[in-house]
Amino acid sequence: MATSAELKTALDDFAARANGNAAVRKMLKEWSRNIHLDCADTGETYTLVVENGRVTGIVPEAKPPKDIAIMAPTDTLVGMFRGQLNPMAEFSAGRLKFVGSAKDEMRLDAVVDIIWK
Amino acid sequence: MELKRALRMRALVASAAGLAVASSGLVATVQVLTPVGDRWAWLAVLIAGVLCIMAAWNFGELAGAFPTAGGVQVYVREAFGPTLALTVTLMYVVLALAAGAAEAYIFGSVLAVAFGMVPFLAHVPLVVWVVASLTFFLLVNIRGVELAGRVQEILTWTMVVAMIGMAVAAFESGHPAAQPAHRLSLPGFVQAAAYSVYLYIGFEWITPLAEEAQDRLDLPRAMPAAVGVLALSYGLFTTAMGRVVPLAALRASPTPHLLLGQALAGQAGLWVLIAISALATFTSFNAGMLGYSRIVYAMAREGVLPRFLAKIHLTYFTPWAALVTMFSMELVLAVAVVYTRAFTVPILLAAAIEAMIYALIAAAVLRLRQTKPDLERPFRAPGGGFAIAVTGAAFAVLAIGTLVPPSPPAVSILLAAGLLLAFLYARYVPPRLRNERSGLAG
Repeated sequence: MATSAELKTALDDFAARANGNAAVRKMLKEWSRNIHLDCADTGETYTLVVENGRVTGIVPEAKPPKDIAIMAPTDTLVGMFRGQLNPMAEFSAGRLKFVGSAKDEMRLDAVVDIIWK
Repeated sequence: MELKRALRMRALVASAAGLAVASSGLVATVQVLTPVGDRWAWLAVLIAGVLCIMAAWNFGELAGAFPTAGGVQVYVREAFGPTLALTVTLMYVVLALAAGAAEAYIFGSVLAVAFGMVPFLAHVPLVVWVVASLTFFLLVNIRGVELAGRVQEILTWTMVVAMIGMAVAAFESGHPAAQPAHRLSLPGFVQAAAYSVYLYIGFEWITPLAEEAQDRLDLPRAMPAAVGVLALSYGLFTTAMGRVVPLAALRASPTPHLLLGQALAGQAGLWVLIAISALATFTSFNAGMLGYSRIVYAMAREGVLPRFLAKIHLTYFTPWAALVTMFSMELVLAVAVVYTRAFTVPILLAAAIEAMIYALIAAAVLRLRQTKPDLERPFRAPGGGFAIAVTGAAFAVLAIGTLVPPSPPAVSILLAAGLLLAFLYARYVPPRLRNERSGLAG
């Protein structure tokens, strides 16, 4: 089972890639969200703070407001943010739950696809 | 029931019912009337509704056990494996294309009647209205316009009340019976019930909402309630239509539901039915097109469909490639319907596919009860295994009922071709696509 430290490392790496990718920055321009990542197995929550298209913080708690929530086992979250797991496949299989608008769902999926293409 | 939960239940029921009521459903009622007449049509609609309630319970059990947006694909995969799951998902896409083509043709025909009253638009060919309506919904969906939940709810209840209101007005009008009493036969009644399945298509499309439900019992309760609303609305409407308008006139028209309005209240009645038809198309077609394009998008992202279908519009964040592909195929089908006038073919094809899926879902419930008896099931379909088996068998019979004469042979041919292609695709193509993506030798 993946640890909290592994998840934090995966999130830091993902944030760096997203912030350093011109296509992602352009796509997320003026988009600001608090994305809650709920580890279904450990009960921990991390918040990815996105401000004007850049990841500006990774907070080890549920920071309000909860704009988007992604719920999955820690292993799944780590695999997703490392590009080893396809989020849509995990979502369709029921191993990942997404709560948020359909557009935000598509937007995040596009980000993952661009970064790990 | 506390107010908040009651409101949420009402919204779920409205969503499920709104997805099912469509202009093509209003037209499909003529297929129900044909074998049994207005005296017994309501019973065929009711019987199909009872079976759909049992199907709804089956969906409810599976949605509770697997609260995922993956829906039917997940349920079938858990019960029978990935090949059959993908086959079923592809057949759902075929169903969406067939129903979409029928809806485009019929709504285009409604527009032709409505705008035909404007002198300079009276001679616009039907195909233009059909293409225009499909294009409109394509653009709306690429733009990502979705009806707000509250608006959808209001439109759905308005439509249901209007359908029931028209039916009551027909019964109260004292209109003489439009046709003699129909001799009822068992095969005819079974066929009418089979055709009635089309009227309920879509109620189960709210199962992806299971993961958002605060109470896991909301969905298993909302779906049967929606089926009940549909049975009442369609049962009354079908009977009223058969009582007031001669069957020959109904069968000859692509917009038979408009004839009811016209017969009851002239131009005013015509416009009421045009409005009902427009509401029916908006509440079902828009959600259906976007919903199915997202299924196609998801399959492309998972690697079971070609990658280009996963392209997203980077301003509106909608699956534009999937939408355009679905639109193109629906356009070809809809134009074919315009020039053949065979609008019953896509309707019966959709009904056949849906009946088969309901039968498969019953089988999935039984199989999972055997193979995964310890799975958490917040809701269990009532009646025991026997009732579920009977439901599955009944839908299998109804599926056959949509295929035998007087159904056109094209329905059986298209169904067989669709099933074969879907199965062969599911069996052989995804591994090749995955190998290509990973760069391995094919």
